[in-house]
Amino acid sequence: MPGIFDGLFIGKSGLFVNQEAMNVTGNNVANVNTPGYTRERVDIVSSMPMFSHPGTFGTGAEVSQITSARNDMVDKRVRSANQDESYYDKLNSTLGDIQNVFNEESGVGLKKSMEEFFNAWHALALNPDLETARQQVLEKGETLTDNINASYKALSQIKSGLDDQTQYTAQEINSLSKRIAELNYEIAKGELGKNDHANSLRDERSVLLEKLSKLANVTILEGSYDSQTKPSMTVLLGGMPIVSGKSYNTIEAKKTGGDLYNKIYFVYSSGSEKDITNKITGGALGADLKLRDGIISEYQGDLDNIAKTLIQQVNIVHSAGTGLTAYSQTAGLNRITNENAAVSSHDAAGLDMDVQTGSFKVKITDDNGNNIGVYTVKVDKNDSFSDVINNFNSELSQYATMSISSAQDGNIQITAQNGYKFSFTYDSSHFLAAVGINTFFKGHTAGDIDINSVLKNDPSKIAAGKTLEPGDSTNAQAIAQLQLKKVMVNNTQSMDEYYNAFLGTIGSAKQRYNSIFEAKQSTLHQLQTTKQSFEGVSLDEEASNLIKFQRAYQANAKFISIIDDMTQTLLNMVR
Amino acid sequence: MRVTDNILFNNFLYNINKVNEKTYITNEELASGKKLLNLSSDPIGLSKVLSLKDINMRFDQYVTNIDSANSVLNAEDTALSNADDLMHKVGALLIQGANSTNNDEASRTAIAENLDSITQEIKNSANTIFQGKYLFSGFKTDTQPIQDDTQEVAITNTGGSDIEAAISPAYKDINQFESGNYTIHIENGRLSILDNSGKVLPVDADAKDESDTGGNVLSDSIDISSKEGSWIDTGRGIKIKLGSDVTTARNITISYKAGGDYLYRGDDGERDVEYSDGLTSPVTITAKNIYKPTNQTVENNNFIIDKTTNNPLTKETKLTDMELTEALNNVSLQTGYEIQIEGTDHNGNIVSGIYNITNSSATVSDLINKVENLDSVEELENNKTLITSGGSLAVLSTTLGSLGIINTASTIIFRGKNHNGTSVNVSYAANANTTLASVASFISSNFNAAVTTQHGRILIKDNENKESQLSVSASTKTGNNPIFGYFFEHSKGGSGGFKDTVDGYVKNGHIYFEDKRPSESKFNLSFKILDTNSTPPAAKPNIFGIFNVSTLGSGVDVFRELKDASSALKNPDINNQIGIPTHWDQGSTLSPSITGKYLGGLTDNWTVKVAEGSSDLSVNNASAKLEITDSKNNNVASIYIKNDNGKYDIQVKNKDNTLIYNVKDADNLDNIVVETTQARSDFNAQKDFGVNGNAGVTLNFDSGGLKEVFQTGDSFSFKVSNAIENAIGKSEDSLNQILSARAIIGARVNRMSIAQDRITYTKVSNSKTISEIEDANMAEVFTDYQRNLTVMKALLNTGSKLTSQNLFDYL
Repeated sequence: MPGIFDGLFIGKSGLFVNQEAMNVTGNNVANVNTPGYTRERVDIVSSMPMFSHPGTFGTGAEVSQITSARNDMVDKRVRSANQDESYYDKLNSTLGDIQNVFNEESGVGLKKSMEEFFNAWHALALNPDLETARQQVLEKGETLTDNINASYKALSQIKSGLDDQTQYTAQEINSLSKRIAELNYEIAKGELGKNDHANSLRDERSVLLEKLSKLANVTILEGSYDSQTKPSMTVLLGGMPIVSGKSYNTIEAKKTGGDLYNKIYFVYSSGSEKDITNKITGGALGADLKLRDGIISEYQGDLDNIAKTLIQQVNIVHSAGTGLTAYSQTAGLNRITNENAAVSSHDAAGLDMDVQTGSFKVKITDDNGNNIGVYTVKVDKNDSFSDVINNFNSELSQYATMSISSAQDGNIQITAQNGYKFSFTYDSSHFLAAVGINTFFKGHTAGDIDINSVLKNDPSKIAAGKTLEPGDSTNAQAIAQLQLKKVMVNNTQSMDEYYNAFLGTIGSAKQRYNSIFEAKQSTLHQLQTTKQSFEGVSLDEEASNLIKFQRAYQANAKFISIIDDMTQTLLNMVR
Repeated sequence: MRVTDNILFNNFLYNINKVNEKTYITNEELASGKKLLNLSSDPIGLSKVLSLKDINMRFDQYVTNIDSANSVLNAEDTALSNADDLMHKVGALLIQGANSTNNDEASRTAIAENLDSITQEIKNSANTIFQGKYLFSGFKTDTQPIQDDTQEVAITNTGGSDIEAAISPAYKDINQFESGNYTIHIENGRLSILDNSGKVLPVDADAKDESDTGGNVLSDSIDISSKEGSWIDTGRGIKIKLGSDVTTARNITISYKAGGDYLYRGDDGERDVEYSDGLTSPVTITAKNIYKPTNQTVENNNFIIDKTTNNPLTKETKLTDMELTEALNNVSLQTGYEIQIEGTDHNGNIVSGIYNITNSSATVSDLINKVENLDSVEELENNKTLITSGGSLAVLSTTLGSLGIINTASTIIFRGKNHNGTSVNVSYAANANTTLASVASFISSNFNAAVTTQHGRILIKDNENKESQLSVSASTKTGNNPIFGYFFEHSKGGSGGFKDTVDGYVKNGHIYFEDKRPSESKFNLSFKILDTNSTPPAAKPNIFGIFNVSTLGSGVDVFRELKDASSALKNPDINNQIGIPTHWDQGSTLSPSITGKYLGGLTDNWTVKVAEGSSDLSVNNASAKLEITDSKNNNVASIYIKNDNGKYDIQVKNKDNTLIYNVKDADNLDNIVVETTQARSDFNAQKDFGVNGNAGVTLNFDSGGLKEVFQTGDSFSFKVSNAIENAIGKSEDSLNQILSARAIIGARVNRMSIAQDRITYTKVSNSKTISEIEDANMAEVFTDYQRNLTVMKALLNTGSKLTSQNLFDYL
């Protein structure tokens, strides 16, 4: 049978419990806008009852624990949605940048300059002896090469920007994993007791994990990863533990041994490193790498293709024609690394294109422009460059000699004998184009395509014709017609069509990533709503709880005052 | 669902962002008027727009091209219409000149001078400058197309001869010698000209210009046996006069510089304009195309590639590397094959030869070289069509009996000369059953010639080419009966053939052979392939295909004709010509030839017909009557011949029945004057022709030792031409030539204007499609914009309401 003072204890426990509950409510309201904050609840249980004869008597209430309304399942899904969203966000926004480079209106306008380039050849074909028509071909050619260079460089810049980004991201990942490891330690310490919950620490960790998920495709394992050490949490990046309980490992983005771009290394505690670049496929870092190594490189490759085709096709036609004036001396633009290599193996010779069996024709004129003759130099695909030089010299040494300059240069040179000049009228072997003699373009890729400086200095060398006659524009016509010639992708597409397809590829990639990004964004929004719904603080709810706990507090106080009255009554009896 | 305050706020924010995004895009669309804002706005639409824009931009260039082409074409047409007007004036002047033939020399000279200044005007028109460039000179736009150049000849070594050499305009249908050094070789009354390498170059066979009367015939040498002291024109730019000795073998060297008036100095370049995708049209035309005759050119119809390069063949391509395109694969040449070359030269003389591919290094150039150096072959044909009693044409298996030539065993005597001039006189025993084939093989073995039949005629073809003295006559031993008629020269051996007159070249994977002699031509060529590795040699597929005529030789040299017209006006009759006579066609044996000068005022074709024949004029009292008629069948003259004890009495009466020629007891039938029209009062044979009397058309007949037959009804013909009347005809040809050039330009203008219409139409339709895809529908965009604004307002209102109420407010 409990005594009268037991009632006081019961009342006191009620006051304490409700006061505690009101504090928690207050804390919830205070943290209503704290990121990562999970609303807390007091678990109220009745105190251990007293056993006596008629039965058990309650002894009031007590707070057993304060729990947070965390939902691990939702947290996990939010993290993975976050990772996807940031991955596609990065892809989408970078493709936006790339797209801007190629916008015809606001970007480099490569397409227009290509049209104008070929149209300039058309104009030259109409007026082969007009000096301005020659200048136009040069100017439009320079605009075109500038634009190709500019678009290639713009892509390179985006690429190196992404590359720099990997370093910052790696540092951020490191600081996050360090903090997570620290929190792991704190949480373990704070939760030593059975009912201890380090709620705010867990909230903080949850925020950090979310941030980490945005950066890369991390795997988060709660509980034991390694049964020996039983760490409370493991975070894996590319299969390597960057956080393992209270310890962490760093990653590093750096270039070694002539790398053009950063690689991502996992650093073991021993200091040794492992390349995990290929394993990073998600988050902002994953997107950086995919853009840098995949998408942008591919686009640059496409630009290179266009530039190479342009260089080679135009040069093949151009080198087999003549301008208004003949050469007294000229040198090839391309370096031959091995003059004994067969002309048909460009790799062995260090050239861009193969020479095939055929011949080229050299027209010799004297200083007054009188025709001396046209000489044919035969080229067999099995000949070496030295063989061709010998063929040339045995055919023409009376008028001109061909030689290969010293080993460092490796360029073919042709020098006319005194009193003679030479020009070219035909080349079925592509020898001249391959070694870079009498070509229109120089360079090898989209990055270095340019107009042959010989032509820049002397526009009369632009090979509009096949003879030295001023009205001959057959060659200019042939170059103008290259625009429609199907010279790309196994001769199925013209350069125009290829570039159109290239623009289409960028456009549809951007469109695809944009719609994926929007889907991911809305998924994330949904999940965050769900998370809020579970974990967020509702002010209305807290307000009603406040009223509930306040009323209970008042009731308990009333109870104590009644017990007090009873005690007074009892004391007055004694007087 | 438990809704927290943050859910409300976040949702509000998310929605506002979405609406803002939409508004941003709509705003952009409004500002630019386009819905294709980025590459990603509509990638499929984008690719369509891009390719349509490509097309439009290209079309813009085509329009520019067409405009530029039109301005060139206009300039050309203006120049040509000017030339057209001038040619009309020429026609009028010439008619005036022809009518004043009987008038004084002074007025003709005045007309001639007028003509010369018009010629100069036409030359100026041909040399039109357009935008600082010569319009009609091909690619050589900095070279005046029509120029005069001096022609020079100099004797560098007389070889101890009394010789003179002078320039003379090349005959109109013969190509001039190229500049260089030449050797004149004289031997046994014949003259030939050799180039530096010792190659004999063909020259005009009779040293007489017949370019307006059926064409000149070339020959490896000229008969100069009676030409001491007179000019011998080679017809190719040089004429020679030998003092006395025409027989002693010797060489004279000369140097020659080709030249002449109104030469074309441009090139064949033809500027093309691309006026639509892959379609080009030539816009320039050269003065050569307009004012000069074309050269007959043949082109093989197979496109041949060089299999080592896969490019179209070139002159350097090895014959064994030639290949056809895929569809006709496995047709190729091998070593041991022979290429049989058959053709006819400018005059129609047979040219044939064989090129053996002895080794694999032989190139197309070698083959062309072979063709370019082939001479013609002598071929004889009888002038009597052999018909069997059954009415069918004789073939080799036909018997002499069935032809009614021989009914009993008899001897046929074959006389004549072989290739080298060695006399042949052989007898052949024949009977009614003897076939033509046996006769053929007899002729073949005795004259070293191949004998065939064609259309009932016998053809005897010399086994060797070059100049030949092959001649054959056949008659019965009893009665000297010419059983096959008379064998005339059907193809002249040693006419030069393709030597120095044919030029072979390779262009665009085809082989071309061009007859360098301009204008109308009988030049033709074909190849046959034979594999001599197998026995018997087997015919192989012809990789070359057929040689078709790609350019027909035609037209006149306008300037040359104008110049000739002028000189005809100044000096009437000097350029009148008489053509080479055709042959008796029905067995007459007295072969005709013509000498003298034509003095008539009309250009015409005269026919000599046997009105009353004779089966043997050598018999005493035998007589014949020949009638000469013009092309309108009017009588020109009649010839009466009578045998008077082995001598001939000959009388010729003109159309007025006036006796114009009367000779008694002539030894032969030479120098029968049949025309002495003294058309002009001021005619002076001495002054105009350098001859005394006897000027006029003179006929000669020679039986070649056969029975002297004039077959009744048999006929031959020849052309006569009067220089002024001829000039009138040529001026019409010239005018037509200019008009046809104008027509070509007109067709090009048409082509351009059709293309321009089509391009404009396509451009408009493309622009429409582009606009449909690319441009924003403004009504739609405005509606969207308005809707976004409304949604935004609603959102803001709800937002403010949602967050304004809270339970705390009620505490």
